[in-house]
Amino acid sequence: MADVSLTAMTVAELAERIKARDVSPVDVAEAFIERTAVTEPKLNAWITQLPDQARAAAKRAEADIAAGNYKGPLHGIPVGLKDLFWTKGVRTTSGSAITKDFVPSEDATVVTKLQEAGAYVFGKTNMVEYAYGGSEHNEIFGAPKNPWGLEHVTGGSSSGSGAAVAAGQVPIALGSDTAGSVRAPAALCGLTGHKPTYGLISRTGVSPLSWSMDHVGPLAHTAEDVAIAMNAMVGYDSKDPGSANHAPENYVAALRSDLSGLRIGVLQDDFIWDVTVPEVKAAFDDAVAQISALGAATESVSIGNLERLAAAQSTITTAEANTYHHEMIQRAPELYHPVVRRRIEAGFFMPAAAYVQAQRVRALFEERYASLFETFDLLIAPTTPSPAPEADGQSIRLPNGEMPSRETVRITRIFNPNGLPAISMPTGFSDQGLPMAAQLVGKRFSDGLVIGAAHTYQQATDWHKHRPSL
Amino acid sequence: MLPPELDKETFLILARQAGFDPADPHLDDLFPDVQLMLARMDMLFDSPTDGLEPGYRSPGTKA
Repeated sequence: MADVSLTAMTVAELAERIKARDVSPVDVAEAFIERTAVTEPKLNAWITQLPDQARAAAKRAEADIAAGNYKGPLHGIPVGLKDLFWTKGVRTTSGSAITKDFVPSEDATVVTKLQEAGAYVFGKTNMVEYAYGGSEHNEIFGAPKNPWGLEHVTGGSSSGSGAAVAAGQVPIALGSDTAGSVRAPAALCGLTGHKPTYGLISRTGVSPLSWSMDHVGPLAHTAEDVAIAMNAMVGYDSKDPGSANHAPENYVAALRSDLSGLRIGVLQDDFIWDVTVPEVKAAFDDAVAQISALGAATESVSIGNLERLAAAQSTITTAEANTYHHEMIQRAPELYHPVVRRRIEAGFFMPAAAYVQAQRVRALFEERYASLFETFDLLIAPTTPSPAPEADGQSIRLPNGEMPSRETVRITRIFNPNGLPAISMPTGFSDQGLPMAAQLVGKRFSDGLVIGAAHTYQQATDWHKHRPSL
Repeated sequence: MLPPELDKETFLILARQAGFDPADPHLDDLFPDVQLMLARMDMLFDSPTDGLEPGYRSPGTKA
């Protein structure tokens, strides 16, 4: 019988026990395998489970550590991968019927880096088809369910990664974030999710949605675990044209104990608050008060004209996704999820001038963000406008009406076109017991500051310690 | 500037040029999505971008 209490632990807690040899990587693997076996029938978080591969990797880690070759805090830690990260010899479906049998001949660069740090692949998590949406799962795989409320969505597109970590099936998982696909499922599943600075983590071997806005990032229980993963994953990759040749940073060393001296801009844009439900606002206000109490100077500020930035993000995604899918969608359109199909096909009707103009709007906001970060070290906003919507609902109920459920990424997408680092952290629970969250955002390459500030907040709060009962 | 509205007739002409069968009932579902996309584009062309070149600085060039 495995010790399933291990499955409630963070990566840092597990690493401490593995390093001290209080627990072996094999014990850890068996605990997560058993937890997954019990909970997966309720959740549908995985497309491909790899228990035999996990056991073999755990045994190798156990032997390495016993021989004195401890590699660091990811050694012997199982990792879930959104099923668009290429895995050598293991199918990588991108959540689609079209590529359901694709078996890569090599690992994604980031997978290799995690393995070099001692982690191993536990399985491939469910996802929205081709990462294009918040809840549009291809019917051959079905949708994951939210561990905090099985009738609610997990958020997407890294939906299975959110469900799997929240349920304790795996302590950490990877996602990709083009409009909020790491942060939204992290927020709706009560996790900490980080979208790093664009280019900081290689996208080589990661099936694309929108090349110029795709970011790889981790979903975990804590900012500390995010920092541990970032230390292993960040690095220049000459095979990725968007890779940033930036000096490495120790993100664990950047974890802080207070926020003294930081200036944090509290976003006030109507674009955000016109659609945010009162429960999320109340939790957000409490979080801002806590951050002030931790020593930061907070001040209200607006970015302005965010509708335009959101439109640019959407336009760029449509154009780039259409280009990537150009041949496939003409060959087999009926195999796509109908909503994903229409989003991609709409790109056939986009004038070239619109894509170029979207890039000019992107440049416009480059200047606006640069100006804001002359005054502020960080910005803060809610991550999603509401807790997780009901799975069968097409809309989110607001005080003044409704909005489409795809708008769960409304507040996250405004930080993608300019490649800013943004971390989502839990800020409370709704009356229905569903998680709510806020995101901290910094200028490019300030990931250490962003993650460190979230860690400080989590030292003073316990929202990230809650676990769902399944 | 883009045309303020796309009528169904023009849409079907463009659809044929893009390789769709104009008689395909799927186009009835696609048409609202294309209209929505074009409406978003109007907002882009209303933005004050005079003097700005398109694009995003390569992340490796400026930390």
